Amino acid sequence: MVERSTEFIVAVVDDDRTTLESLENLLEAAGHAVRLFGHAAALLDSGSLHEIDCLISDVGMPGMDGLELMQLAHGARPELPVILITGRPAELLQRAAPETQSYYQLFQKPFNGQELLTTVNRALRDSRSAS
Amino acid sequence: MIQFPGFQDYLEQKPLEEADLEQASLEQEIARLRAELERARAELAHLARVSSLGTLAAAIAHEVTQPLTGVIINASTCAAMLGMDPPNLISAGETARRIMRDAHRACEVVARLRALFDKRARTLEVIDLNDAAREVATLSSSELCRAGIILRQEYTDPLPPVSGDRVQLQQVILNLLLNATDAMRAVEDRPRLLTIRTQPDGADHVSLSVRDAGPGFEPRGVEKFFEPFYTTKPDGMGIGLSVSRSIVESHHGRLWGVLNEGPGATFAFAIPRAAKTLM
Repeated sequence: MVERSTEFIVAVVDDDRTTLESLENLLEAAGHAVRLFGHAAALLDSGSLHEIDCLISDVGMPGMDGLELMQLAHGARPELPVILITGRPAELLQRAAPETQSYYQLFQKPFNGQELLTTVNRALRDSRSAS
Repeated sequence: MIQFPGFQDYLEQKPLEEADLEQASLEQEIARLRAELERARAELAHLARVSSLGTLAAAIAHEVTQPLTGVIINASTCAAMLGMDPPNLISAGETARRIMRDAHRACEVVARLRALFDKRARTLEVIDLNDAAREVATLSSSELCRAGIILRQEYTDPLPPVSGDRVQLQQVILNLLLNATDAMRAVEDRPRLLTIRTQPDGADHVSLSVRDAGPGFEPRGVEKFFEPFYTTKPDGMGIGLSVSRSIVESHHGRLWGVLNEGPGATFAFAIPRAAKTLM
């Protein structure tokens, strides 16, 4: 087990500016480095998929949705913890395929920031001890 | 000829009585079926009302959820910043300002809703369809924006007023907007353009149309859209358009759908202008 000395990098993908901004604030205050993206393609194009330690993604977004993004991300990095956030749980019910169930945890908006942070930290700890 | 009073009558009356009895029982049966039909119709109307309220409720929930998400996350961040040693007062203050901003946004949504429902008396009122459509467009703007829709509003102004139930007509408009939005979800090669247009229709009607740039529909299949429980959406209940049509028809109007010259379809309704006595 290799102890990392650098801070963790968390990527957040959401088409809602308010959510992006508030999560940036929350995660930075907790000492994480944050990368923000307004849609899924922006994250993929940025080339930062290989450097992030955790991905937080909205489910319902124009263009590629959060489930597709998660599948692509897991194709490249199966161990990457993905936390989904959604305004409508129905979006998940439509897509009951097993590969769409590989998220670390799902939060329904509006959710408690402290709980999300606890989950992010636990996901980071889990994936670090696994590697 | 000897007459046996009553005998001939008796001979003829027997089958007549039977026929009478048969007719009576048929009439009873018809009355029973009619009552059953009436009950089924009332049930369907109730289901339809509940479900269009559900659509509206989902749109509202979404509008309020976005700012509330910001408020809640920022509040926990703010608390964490104040709990640091030493407390990060500058960042906490900035975060508190964001909380206020987002909370105000949520309040604005509620205020708009109040304006929408305060006039809830089920009496006919004189309505400017332009105003009604503008309110619906504002209320669903974040939903439209989220779906990457470019909304174009082309109102004929001034527009002759109509009389009707404002909330019901706004449910029809909302339903047409959301259908058009859904129709364009998969469109990637052209702008997802949604056009709301109002105009006088003939000498005594006013029409409102919602035009999308989606894939359109099978030309002969359009009437299916108006059947209760018909849906093209995986999560749809298939009630929206049939409810919309029944609302429009209760306003003595009509609702129809046509394919565009270019891509997409247009759904529109026309209802009579308000009578002069109501104005």
